[in-house]
Amino acid sequence: MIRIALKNLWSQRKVYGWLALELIILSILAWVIVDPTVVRIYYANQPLGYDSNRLAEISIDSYPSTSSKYSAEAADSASVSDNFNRILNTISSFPGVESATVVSYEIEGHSSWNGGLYTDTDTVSVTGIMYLQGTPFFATYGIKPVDGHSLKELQELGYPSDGIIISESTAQWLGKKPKEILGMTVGENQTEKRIVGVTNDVRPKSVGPNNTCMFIPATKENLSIEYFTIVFRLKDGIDPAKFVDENRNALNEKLSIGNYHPVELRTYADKSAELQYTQGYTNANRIGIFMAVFYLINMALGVIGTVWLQTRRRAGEAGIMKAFGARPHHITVTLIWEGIILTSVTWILGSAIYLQYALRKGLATARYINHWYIPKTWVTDFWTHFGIVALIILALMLVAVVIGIWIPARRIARVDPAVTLKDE
Amino acid sequence: MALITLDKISKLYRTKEIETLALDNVNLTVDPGEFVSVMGPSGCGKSTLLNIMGLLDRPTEGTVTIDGSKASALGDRELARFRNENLGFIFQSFHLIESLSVLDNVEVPLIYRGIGARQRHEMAKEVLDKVGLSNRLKHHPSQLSGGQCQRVAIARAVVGNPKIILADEPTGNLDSKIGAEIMNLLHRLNTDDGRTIVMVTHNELQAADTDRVVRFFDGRRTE
Ligand SMILES: Nc1ncnc2c1ncn2[C@@H]1O[C@H](COP(=O)(O)OP(=O)(O)O)[C@@H](O)[C@H]1O
Ligand SMILES: [Mg+2]
Repeated sequence: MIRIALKNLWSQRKVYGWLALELIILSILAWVIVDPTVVRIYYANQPLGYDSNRLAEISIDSYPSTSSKYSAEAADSASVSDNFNRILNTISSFPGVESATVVSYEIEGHSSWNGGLYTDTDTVSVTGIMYLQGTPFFATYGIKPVDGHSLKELQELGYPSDGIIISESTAQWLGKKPKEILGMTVGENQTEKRIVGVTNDVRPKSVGPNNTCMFIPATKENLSIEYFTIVFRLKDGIDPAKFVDENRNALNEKLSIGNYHPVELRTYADKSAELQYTQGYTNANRIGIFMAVFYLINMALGVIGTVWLQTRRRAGEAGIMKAFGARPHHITVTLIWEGIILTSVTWILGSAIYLQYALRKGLATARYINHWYIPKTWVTDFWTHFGIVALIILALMLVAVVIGIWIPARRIARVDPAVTLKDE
Repeated sequence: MALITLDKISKLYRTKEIETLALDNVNLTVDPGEFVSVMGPSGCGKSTLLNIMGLLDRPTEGTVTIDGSKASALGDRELARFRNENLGFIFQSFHLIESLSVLDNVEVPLIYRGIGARQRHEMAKEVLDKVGLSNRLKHHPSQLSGGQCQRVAIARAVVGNPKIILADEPTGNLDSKIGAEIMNLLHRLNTDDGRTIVMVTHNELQAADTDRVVRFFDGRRTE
């Protein structure tokens, strides 16, 4: 049946030529649409590197001196520091709260701190995350050490101020295994930092890939404590949405201390949804998927049209085939083989054309900015990436083409031989 | 025992506007090895009869029995297989497949029988040799004359070694000299190979040469 399909294609090359041209163009277009969509979906489904369930946060602001609620006696640095500690203690011991930490440029935040680490020969961009020394930052987020330290040890590392903790892919960039890298110094913002710990990889934003990260244990003086965010983990079995609803008033009241007052209490899930919305990520994904579906329908329609136009002739042939022993199934299979051969050939040609472009400009990536070190995965390996996306495109094209052929093929296969074999 | 038995066959064609009774209570038996011709004016139901006999069409009423098998009892799959193994068709307008070469056209029944490529080629070449076309294997139907096309069609009809050949005006599109050659071939298939042949024809001389003539008028047998 494959042989008959090949011969049919060859003898119908004028008709199929146009379809082939369309399929080549569509397969090039498929690369433009499918490649970034596949990469984006892949990154979106990678582990976050921390446990986002049962996380919530509360932001605390201070009244400015112009405010009517401003209290001058609560504004001296000793009171501020004292009030800050009271707020942190209150939330840490609040019923239902397991642990709390204070962060600056927090994970999944709008703004981020794009820092750099450098060695004698190279520089890499890293996402910097600062947390308050002495707070259980890693336990609250559920970020784990991978360098042999225990979570408790990791928590206490990094003081005094020249220590930094890096993520696993940062160590990968530095060319070392997590355990071998401890004690090594790297440059950061004109100073020398000592690597004291290595954590698993983290995606600082769910809208992006896992990045090279550094975690800097900061003192209160290093953090801006006029405005700060407390991230806290709830105890097992507590639903964050419910917690936030039920405790909003109580927290507002209890955390209004001195000039401090809470401005926003929300679950991590709400924070994440807002970020994804404002960064157009959800939209980009929807557009990508919409385009892919549109493209598939288009492809199927092109095929349906071409095969439909031939229905009369093909039905005639089908009648003859049936008179000599073909079953309807044979007719459909032959037609579908024609589609599979045509698709495979046009897919090879289309992909080869796109390859010329990709070799020069690269395939879809998570980052279009230089200096970001992207952890090694199939995405960063050109040929693996090319192969995987090519196969996905082939599968999508085959689905569209086979459906496109199958619809008219069913009609053709069902024809009554007595009708098509009439001698006029 | 008869090879083909048509028992009280009627065929009613219904279209939106009209109903045509193409066959009206037809009885006919054909014995093994017989060469029967079917005659009658145009539109009297000869092709319908042949299609029903060849299991290409189902009668509205009546039963068709071929070689002991009742046609109405066969499912789609068995029907296809039965046609493939027992029946060979020859049509007035040849009905070759244009996209396939002469050799491929003749191989069609063997493909659906599941015979391997090498054996198919051998079998097809052998019958094409018998019909005198072994030098046209790679040609396509459009590159052949009418007589050559009909010889390819005959080769295709016999390549699977069916007991029965059904020919619907096989010489209708050919001039008399070529028509005589085709008739010669059919007679050889009947006498040398013992195949049973039912042929529709308008030619009294051709009919006279066969074992028996069956005549139709307006969907009924008159003889
Ligand atoms: N598919 C069909 N639908 C409707 N009428 C048909 C169909 N096939 C044949 N007929 C009618 O049935 C009658 C017999 O046709 P046919 O068997 O082809 O005659 P013959 O072969 O003797 O010329 C004719 O009147 C013809 O118009
Ligand atoms: Mg006729």
